[in-house]
Amino acid sequence: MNTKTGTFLFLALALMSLLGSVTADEIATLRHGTPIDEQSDPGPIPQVVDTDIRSKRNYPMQPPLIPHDTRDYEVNIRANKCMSCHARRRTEESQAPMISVTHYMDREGNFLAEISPRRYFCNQCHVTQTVTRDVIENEFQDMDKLLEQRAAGGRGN
Amino acid sequence: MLFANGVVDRFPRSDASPDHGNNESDYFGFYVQKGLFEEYASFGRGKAHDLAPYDVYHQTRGLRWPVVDGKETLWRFKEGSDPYVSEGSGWEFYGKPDGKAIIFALPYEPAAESPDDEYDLWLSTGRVLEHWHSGSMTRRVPELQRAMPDALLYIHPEDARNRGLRRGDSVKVVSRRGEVKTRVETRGRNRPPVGLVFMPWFDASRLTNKVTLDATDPLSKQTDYKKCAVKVVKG
Repeated sequence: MNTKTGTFLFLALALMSLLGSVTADEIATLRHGTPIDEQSDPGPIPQVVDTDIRSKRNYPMQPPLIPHDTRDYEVNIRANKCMSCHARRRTEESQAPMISVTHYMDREGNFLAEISPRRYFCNQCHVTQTVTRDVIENEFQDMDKLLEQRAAGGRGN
Repeated sequence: MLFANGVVDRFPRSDASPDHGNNESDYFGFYVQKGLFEEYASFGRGKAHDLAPYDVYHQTRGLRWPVVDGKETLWRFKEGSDPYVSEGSGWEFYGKPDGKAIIFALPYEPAAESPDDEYDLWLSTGRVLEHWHSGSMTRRVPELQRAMPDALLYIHPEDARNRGLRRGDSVKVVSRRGEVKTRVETRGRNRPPVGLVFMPWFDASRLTNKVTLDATDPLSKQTDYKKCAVKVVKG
């Protein structure tokens, strides 16, 4: 056996032992432990949250979540169903929150009478929520929590 | 020292805004971002790739180049808008010796696999707005995960009806290579035409690529995961 073949064999063996030690669960963290060569039965399509209760934003600039069903809402060149409640002039009868003032500004900061074309497609930023389980735990803490921790002498940033 | 070539280290640290930190410039002792940008910009100025001065980009939301005498070019290669176009030419693709654009006319290449009697639907795979590629980061953000939790099969209501399927039914998407189980969506915002179904691939529990095709474009060598022939059966 020459050195080249020897090295190759060694590498191959090392790789095999490595692969052997990794189980399907460890690779596929977003697969709920289903091995890679199997598939789970798909759960039912989850319900859309339709409570009309606003949820807290994680940070002030976060686009607010949509707390109602938006099935069959059309947002296209002819119509924008969202604006039939969230436009400035509709909010009195609808009691829906007005779209942010930034949405009435063009890119130079001038105020417009109507929603700016660059903000027209609501679903680019705003989403509904479904009743489903998260695939992985999220440890996000908002800035109030971080400030509290700093005040308490803990990790500041 | 790295970057100390008289150009990149031209701007003092004090030129940078005092309103926010700038670790890199603290380290180098000069305004390194501006120096690097200005050095890079110097390569294109006067050569139809002109960029505006560094500080201008802090005040604008971007400018279309070439930016000549502080003015961006709204319509490139068009006389009256692009200052590099010579007078009287109307249009000029000045990057080419004869001022004309090169348009490639390539022969039609049929798809590697098309629907037939058994595998009677096109499957197109792709992304969704909520998840960046395979969702390795976005699926960990609860709001985004809850907005788009599963990779569903988007199908035209007529195609669904012809197969005895209703929204929410569990189905198998089967190709010559493999199958994937998911649920049918007929009224999502993705509205595929009759004869085509769409399934995104962000969902690690629904391996869409078990179904897709192992072919590449003969010219560009790009993978052909975008389209193949499948059948959809209850299951």
